[in-house]
Amino acid sequence: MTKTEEQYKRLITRLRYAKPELKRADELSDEIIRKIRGLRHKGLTIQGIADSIFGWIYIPWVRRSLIGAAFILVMVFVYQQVFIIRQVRDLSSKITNISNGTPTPSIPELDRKLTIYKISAGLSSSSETKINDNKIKELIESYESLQSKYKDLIRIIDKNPHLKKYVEKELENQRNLKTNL
Amino acid sequence: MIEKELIEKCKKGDLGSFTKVVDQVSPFVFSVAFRLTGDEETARDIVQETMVTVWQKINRINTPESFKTWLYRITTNKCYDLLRKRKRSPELRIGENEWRLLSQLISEEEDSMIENEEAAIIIKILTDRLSSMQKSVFVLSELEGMSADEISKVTGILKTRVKANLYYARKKIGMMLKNILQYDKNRGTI
Repeated sequence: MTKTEEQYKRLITRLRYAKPELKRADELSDEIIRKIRGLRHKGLTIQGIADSIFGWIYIPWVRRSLIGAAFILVMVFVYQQVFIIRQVRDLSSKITNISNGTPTPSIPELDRKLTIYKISAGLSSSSETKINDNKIKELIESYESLQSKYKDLIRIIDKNPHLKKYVEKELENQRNLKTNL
Repeated sequence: MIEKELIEKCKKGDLGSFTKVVDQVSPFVFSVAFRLTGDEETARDIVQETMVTVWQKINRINTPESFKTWLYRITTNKCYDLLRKRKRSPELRIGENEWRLLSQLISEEEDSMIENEEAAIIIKILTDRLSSMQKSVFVLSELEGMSADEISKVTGILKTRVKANLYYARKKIGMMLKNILQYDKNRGTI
């Protein structure tokens, strides 16, 4: 052991056994009790009220139980939210399916309006054509309805070979008539 | 340290029993506080605050063993807060008297009594260059005789950090003692 280590050990041993002496212990004890009694009288302070209402949370088993309960509540809430969102998504997709009806090719609104405008502009003699939005909507709806009826008609004709043959023959005759004219 | 029955009575609000608790533990709390703060009046204030806190929160205690750790923890925390709040004091000027006292203490073979004031000076000199945590660990380990496990429970820091702090504390104090040796040597040559 080096000299420094020896000195260190000696010094620490002496300091350890030289416990600081508490003088006037009785006086200190009385002061402490007096302070505590003073605190008791201040029981109706906000601190005192808070302690009496919430003091139970310092009990270890109560705190642990509360943490466990809080955790469970959070999990239940998360599960509920996930479930609700899923339900909402399902409902939204169903609504979309119902409102669409028979599937039609989706045409961008602007292109549609432009097409209808061109059609109506061609029919009109004036240089300026003013078209109402509602009218366009009506036109588009009737066009879609005609398109769906046309498809239904084609389907019926396809199903019936005799009818198909007859229609083709008639169309051929009409074409020939036009050509001859 | 304290009987379980006494703790139970204090929980019920029996001030008479608490007075007995105060009488039993005050010297011990004072010892820790004094060694950490180096001032008698401050140590007395800390004893008061500690015992009032003990009274207010005694319902948290179930066993006498946990009472001891808890008491140490309250005392150390109050001292630690005080040490941190104190503005970093200018370098401690160690005069001729202080050196002589320290030198005497190291070289004396007999175990003569050390007064409170003398002990305070010596601890101040030894721990002047230590951080608050190093000082706490040093006092609890070297002077109060606590194990690293116990210190870890009291201070709330990991056992490895306790050992690290103690290592650095001893290293710095070792350097201080080397300076004293040098001082003695120089004195001898004068």
